Parts: sequence; structure tokens; C-alpha cells
Amino acid sequence: MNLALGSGAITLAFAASVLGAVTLAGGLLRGRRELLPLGRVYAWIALGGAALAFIAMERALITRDFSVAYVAEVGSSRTPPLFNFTALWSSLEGSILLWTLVLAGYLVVVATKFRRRLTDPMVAWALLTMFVVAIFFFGLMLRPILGFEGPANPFASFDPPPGYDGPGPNPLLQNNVLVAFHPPLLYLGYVGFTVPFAFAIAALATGRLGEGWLIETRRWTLFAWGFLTFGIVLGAWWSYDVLGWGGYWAWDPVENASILPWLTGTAYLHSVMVQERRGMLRVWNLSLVCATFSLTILGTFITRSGVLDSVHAFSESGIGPTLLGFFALIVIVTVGLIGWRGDLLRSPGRVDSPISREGAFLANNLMFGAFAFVVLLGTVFPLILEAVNGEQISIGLPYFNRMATPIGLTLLFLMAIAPALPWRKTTGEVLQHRLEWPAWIGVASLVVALLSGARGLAPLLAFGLGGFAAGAALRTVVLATRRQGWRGLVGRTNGGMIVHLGVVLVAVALAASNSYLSQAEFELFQGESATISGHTLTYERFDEIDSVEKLRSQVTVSVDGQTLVPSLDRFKVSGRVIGDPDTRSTLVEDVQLAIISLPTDDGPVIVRATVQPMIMWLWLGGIVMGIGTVLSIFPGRRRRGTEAVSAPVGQARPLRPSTPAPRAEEPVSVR
Amino acid sequence: MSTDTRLRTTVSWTLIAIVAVAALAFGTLDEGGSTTNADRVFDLARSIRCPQCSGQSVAESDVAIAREIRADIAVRVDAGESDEAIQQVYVDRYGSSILLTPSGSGLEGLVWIIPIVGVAAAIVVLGFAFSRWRRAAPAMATDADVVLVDQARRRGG
Repeated sequence: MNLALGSGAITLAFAASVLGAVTLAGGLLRGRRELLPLGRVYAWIALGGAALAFIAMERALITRDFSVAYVAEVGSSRTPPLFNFTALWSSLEGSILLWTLVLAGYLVVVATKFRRRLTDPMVAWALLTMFVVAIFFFGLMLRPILGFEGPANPFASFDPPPGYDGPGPNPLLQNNVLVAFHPPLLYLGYVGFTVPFAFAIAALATGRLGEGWLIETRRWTLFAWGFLTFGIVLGAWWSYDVLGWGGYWAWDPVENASILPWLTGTAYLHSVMVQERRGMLRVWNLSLVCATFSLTILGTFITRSGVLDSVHAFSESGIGPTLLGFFALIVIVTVGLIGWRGDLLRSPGRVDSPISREGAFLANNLMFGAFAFVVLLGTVFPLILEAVNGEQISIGLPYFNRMATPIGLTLLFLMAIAPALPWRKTTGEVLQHRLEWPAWIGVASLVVALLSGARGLAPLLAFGLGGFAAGAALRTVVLATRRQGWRGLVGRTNGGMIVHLGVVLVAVALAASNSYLSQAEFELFQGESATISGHTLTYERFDEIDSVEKLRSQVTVSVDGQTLVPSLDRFKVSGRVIGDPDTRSTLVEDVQLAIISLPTDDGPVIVRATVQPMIMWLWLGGIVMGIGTVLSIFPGRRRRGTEAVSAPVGQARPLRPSTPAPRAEEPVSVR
Repeated sequence: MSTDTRLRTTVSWTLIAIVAVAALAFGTLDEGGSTTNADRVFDLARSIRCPQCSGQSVAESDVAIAREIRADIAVRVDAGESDEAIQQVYVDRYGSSILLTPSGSGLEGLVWIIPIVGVAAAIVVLGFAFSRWRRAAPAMATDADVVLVDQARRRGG
């Protein structure tokens, strides 16, 4: 029942995507515009199919229908309801299913948002692009038809022996409630970048390469970026909660895969402003959008193919070559299209002075580009080197930290000065005036850090520049709210400054928690105490709690009189032991306890204590970035794009606020 | 700007520079923040791959071998061995891929050099672009542009 329903639904969605793509392509290439509105219908059918398949899989998981091979693999009668529900995305096939559900959702939202413009070639090309992406992802899950089977068919059948019970999801994925939030949010971000990518391809295909497509996709990009950011921060929180050594970011290949599109996406969010304002950097912006999307595919490849060693690689399969092929196709198509449209992409503008807003954005892009490059290089370099001369090397945290530190500090510096820089050019006097108070805030935070015992050049620079950047962002927000009241908090510029404040919180937290960590392992008998960084730990009690799926061993330790209960969970089916550290968080510092080894009889317990300053600022920073993103999506003060050459006063066309005027630099459809 | 405010701004920025440089110099040179043995153990543990795990360092992993290596590092640090000597012990035992920091020499060194060369090259290219932009005349509307604008206006009504 679930099998038939699921694979039928996927086949339906696949067929709808193929029909959608064929219909739109026919309508566009043959010039039959009456076909184009059908795209919306097919989008709904694709969403219906994806939703039905999702429901079928959840139903199979909830009813423990082990005739579905996927349920036999990740389901178990002992898994608690929440983790049984989230088991859907605990392995490859289900993750792809969730991905397609989100993708089909975006498809419908785009088709609905632009429902009055479905015959506009720009919108039709964008939908066509999304349908092609949907064909690929639904195709991955196809059940065997005519000798072809998708490499990630979630509804393969299984013949369970009598009394069969599955192992349940990977223990790491049933030990923390964040499994219900981190992957879906990350997917909303990842998949969301399909929309700007689709419009970029549409702009290239139609030749309408002016700023129109940027403005159409501005909010979509921010939306995707916001979810990706939030998903990454939640992922860091999750690892911090699970790992138990104070780590939250290990530069693991899978983490790198998620940060890569974030880096190029962030670069794009900034450089797009140069194009909107000055009409420059067209090729660059197109490339960034396409790179961001293709990096989400590359990230999925890295996560799912098992080519790289990672703690996160929860599933391995033969899907690798297919994803790599799709990645190559995207790169070839976009590079080809950009080359083909080369002449239309040349922009007349110029940057007058490097010390200007656009100069700062260029520097920003250089840094984000370098950052993305370093992360990609460090991730794949061991593979390349092994292919070249068979040498095996590992690249990990020390490399990435050393490379990321100067880049991060430069970015903080840019965040401090860029909001104060005017477009085109500036004078020293203007800068001295605008940056004076932000600089004092930077100096103040530097001195405060020094007085509270911080030492070392890199972290001190981070605190000083962080204060400077926060000052610059605050200055902009204060000036805007003074002028416009609450409206000074919304809109891209002002919301962006709130995001900057969040970034500063995160940056300061990164610097502090990385530089001033203290850690020790203690062997304690019951009633015994130890001290670390001024905190007293006392081992009080040891308990075991037995439940259906696991045996929980917990140690009660009081930290300065407050009780912490770090635990170890032994999962019964797999026998795997997963730590569940406990943390006492304050704004100043975190004390985290993890069990290294359990007491036997009256023997000692070995616990590891980690004291790290300002961890909480990381999560606060993430929340502030989220709030800032929402504020940026809110429409701010309307400002129409500025023309490259303003018309003399007498001859300016009359303002007609109801319909936006077509933009001069954008010839409408040359197809 | 009046002479008064200009003077005030200059004084203010001079103070900013002095305090910032002094604070950074003190914070960098002061020994109060020098690394303790525990810090060294942690940093070394983060630089050595756990031989039995997938992509984790011995600082992150709690499998037996990782704990053993951590304990061994602590003993060696307390005995006064240098960071390089301790890392070499593990390289001799497991091969150079045990280190999570690629060495700076040979083909491996490229992973350090390429990004630096890349950024330097990008800065040079940008520098050339700026000097070209400075020399170039400001963009004027060509006849074709004027026609386009005209067409668009007419279509817009």
C-alpha cells in the first residue's frame, strides 16, 4: 500500500516535471505563449506528488511498514515518535525525498507569486529551469521503469522475515531534538538558491540582462540565505551539544559543504548592490548566483557519496557519479550561457576610487571569494594530491583556522568602514567624521577585553574590530531611526546592519571561545571535588535509566552548587554509545561536562570539563542575524533604481507611480 | 568644518591610534596570556588525526586510541618535549597523514601557497582595473543608448 502509493506519487511528480519542462520549452521555443500558463498546473501536480510520497513514507514509518526497504533500514518499533518522524531524513533516499518536497514547494510558490506574468519569457524560463532541476531530483528516486532505476529509490521493497524489527536511525540522529529542525531549515536554504539560479538562467536565456532579474530575486535570495544561516548555526549548536569537548565547528567536509554556498551567497548579497546602483559586475553576479547553486549540488555530492571521510556522512551509495554529473552539467551550461551572452554583459560603469562603497564591496567579494576558495581547496586537496602522486595527507582544523583568521579579521574591518563610505568617492574628512564614534567603541571594547585578561594579537584584533564594526552598524541604524522612526529598522540597508551586529556577536564569540578555552579531565570518586578555572566540580551520584531503545547512564555533578547531569546513552540495537554532555551557560562563559568513562561499582568516574567564554554569544548572534534578515526582507523605503544618466529636469518623463517604468538598459525580450 | 571641530577630530583620532596601538602591543607582548601546558596539549590534540575515526582529531574523539594519544601527549608536554618533536613521534608511527596540518613543503605546500598567490593576483588585477578606470573618460551615452532609451520611453507611454 505505502509502496505503491509512494512510488506512484514519485512517478507522477516526475512525469509532471517532465511535462512542465517540455510544455514550457515548447511554448518558449515555438513562440506559443498560450502554453506557458500550464507551467503553474504542472508545478502543483509535482508538489502534490512530492507531498503524497512524503506522507506515504511517514505513514510507512509510523506504522512500521517494513515492506518498505527504507523503513526496514531506518525504522524500528523502539524509536520514540519524534525521532521516528525525523527518521525520514536520516538517510539518503529520504533526504532526497525531503529535498524534492521543498523544491516542489518553491516551484509552486514561484508560479503563484508570478501568476500574472506566466507568459513573460523571463518567468517561463525560470520555471523551466526549476522543472529541469526537479526532473533530476525526482529522477533520482524513480522506481525501476524500463530497466532504469533511480540511484535513490525510497520505495524499494523489502521482504521482512517474520518478527522483523529494524535498527532505527543512526543513534546520533535520535539523541537530540535539533534533528527535527536543522536538516529541514538547511534544505530550505540550500534548495532556496534554486530560485535566484533559475532567474539568472532566465536572464541569460532571454538576454534581459539588466537589473530586472536581480530585483525579482532579491527577497528569494535573502530568504534562502536566512534559512541557510539559521540552519548552519543550529548545526553548530547541535554539535556543541553532542560533542562534549567544547567544539561547534570542526571544518569537517560536510560542514565545509554547507558553508561554501553560504560564503558565495553572502558575497552575492553584497555585490548585487553594486550592480543595482552602478550597473556593474554583471558577469560576476551571474557567476556568483550560479556558483552558489552548483555548490549546493557539490555539497550534496560530498555529503552523500562517501568520497571524503566525515562523521556526518550518514549514508553512502552509488549516487555520487550522478550528482557529480549534474554538477558538471550546471557548470558547463552556465559558463556556456555567460560566454554566449558575453557582449550583452559588458557594463559601461567604472569604479572611481577604491576608497568608496563600491570599492569596499569589491574588497568584500575578494575576501569571500578567497574564503570559499580556501574552504574548497582544503576540502578537496587531499583527494587531488592522492590522485596526482598517491600521497595521503589530512587537512583539518589547524589549516582552516589559520587561513580563516586573517580573512575574518579583514572582513570585520570592512564591516566597520563600509557603512560609512559614500558611493563613488570620499574625502578623509568625511570618513574621520563618520567613523569617529565607531572607532571609539572599537577602542573601548579592545581595552575592556584587555582588562578582562584577553591576550594575543588575533583575538584582540577581533574584539577591537568587532566593536568598531558594531559601532558602524549602530551608527547607521541610529541615524536611520532618527530620520524615519521604526522604518529605519526595516529594508535592506537597515536590516543588513542588524545582520552585521549578529555577525559581530558571532565573530567575537568565535575569537573568545577558540582562544581562551580551558579543558581538563578529572578522575573523581563519589563525593570528591576538583577545580577548573575557578569552578568547583563535585561528583555526587551515578544512575542508570533503562528505556526501550537505550540505556542511559547519568552522572550527577555539582558545579559551584548547581547540578549538571552529563550522560552516556547506549543504544540497544546497534550497541553504539552516544554522549550527551551537559552545559551550564551564562553570557560570560559556559561550563560543559562530558563523561569519558563510567564508574564501575564504587570506582571513579572520568569526566571532561571544558570552560569556554562567550559561547552563548554565538547563538545570540545567530538569532540577531535571523531577525536582521527578516527586517531586510520587509520592504524598506521605496527607492526606484537610479538611471545611469539622469534626464535634464524639463524633459524627465512624468512619474506614474502605478506601473513601474521599463528600464532603459533592458531591451524587452529579444528571443 | 570650523578649525575648532577639525582640531577636536584630529586630537580624537590621534588618541584612538595611540590607545589602540598601545593596547594591541601590550596584549601581544605581555606574558600573562602565554600558553599553559594544558593549552599546548589541546592544540596538539587538535592537530593530530584520530587513527580510528572518520575525519576527527584526537581532541574530538573519545575512542580508546584517541584517549591514549591525548594522555601520551600530556606526558610528553610535561616532560618538556617540543611541539614538533611530539608531532614527529606520531608521524613516525602512523605516517604523515596523521597530522591535520599539511606541511609547508613539496606538493603539499601548494595548499598554503595557492590561496595567497591567488589573493595577491586578484589584488594586482584590481589595481590595474582601478588605474585603467582612472585614466578612462567617464562613460557617455552612445547613439545606440539614446535610441534604446527613446524606444523604451515610447513603449512605457
